[in-house]
Amino acid sequence: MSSIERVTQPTLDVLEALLAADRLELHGWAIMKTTKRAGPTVYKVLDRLAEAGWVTRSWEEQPPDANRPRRRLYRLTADGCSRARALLAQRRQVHLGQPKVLGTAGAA
Amino acid sequence: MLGAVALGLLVNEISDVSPWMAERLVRSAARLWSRDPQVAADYAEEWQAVVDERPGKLLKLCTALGFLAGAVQIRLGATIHGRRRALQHALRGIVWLNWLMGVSGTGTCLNILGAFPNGHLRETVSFAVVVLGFLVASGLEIRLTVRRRRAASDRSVR
Repeated sequence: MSSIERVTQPTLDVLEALLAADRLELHGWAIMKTTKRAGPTVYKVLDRLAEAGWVTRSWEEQPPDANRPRRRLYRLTADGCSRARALLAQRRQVHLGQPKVLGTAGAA
Repeated sequence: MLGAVALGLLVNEISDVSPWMAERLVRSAARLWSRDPQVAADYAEEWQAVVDERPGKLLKLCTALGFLAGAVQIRLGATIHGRRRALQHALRGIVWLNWLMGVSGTGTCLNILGAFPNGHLRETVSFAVVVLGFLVASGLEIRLTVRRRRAASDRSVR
């Protein structure tokens, strides 16, 4: 687990979305909807977070429709979760315990 | 009248072709995003799933175009960044080479001109030139490093 090199606004948005999911797995589209960020922006951040070991990626086991491509799911690791909380508290000074309405959670 | 019919047919055709086009664009975007074929294939599948989530054929096409634009930006950014780094390394090389050439050149010139009546003075002057050149080159190196770090910190969100 290493620290992330650049902490940008999209990074904070993605971390906030993943934290608000409360250890549920989110797929890329759900994160894009929650953060209201474009796909490439979100995936750049997810790449950096995955490289730093803050999030884990896994493919969904059973696609809802067999003809559809699989979705990849993202979840904060335990260490990533605590680091994300600390980072958000430092940068945004928000109450992270507040529930937030999210898009579709991947695991759901 | 004829124009309206032709426009309608064109829109209809584009609408029908757009899912196929979106798939091709997403694959191209994934290949640009990563040089690793396996990683690119994974992203292509993942992004295709994202595109499929969007309602409407044209919106799907727009999302695919967005992925392609992002991937092109990343590839261009990596190229520019790589060239900038290469330029910085070249500049450093020139600075250090200049220092080495300056030291040896100065020593040689002073020797030819007979500036050193005795060996002790020659050693002292040579040593002073070496130290001075080293300090100048180190100063430039530190300045470059500080500027790079400052630029990196400016890019990050405070």
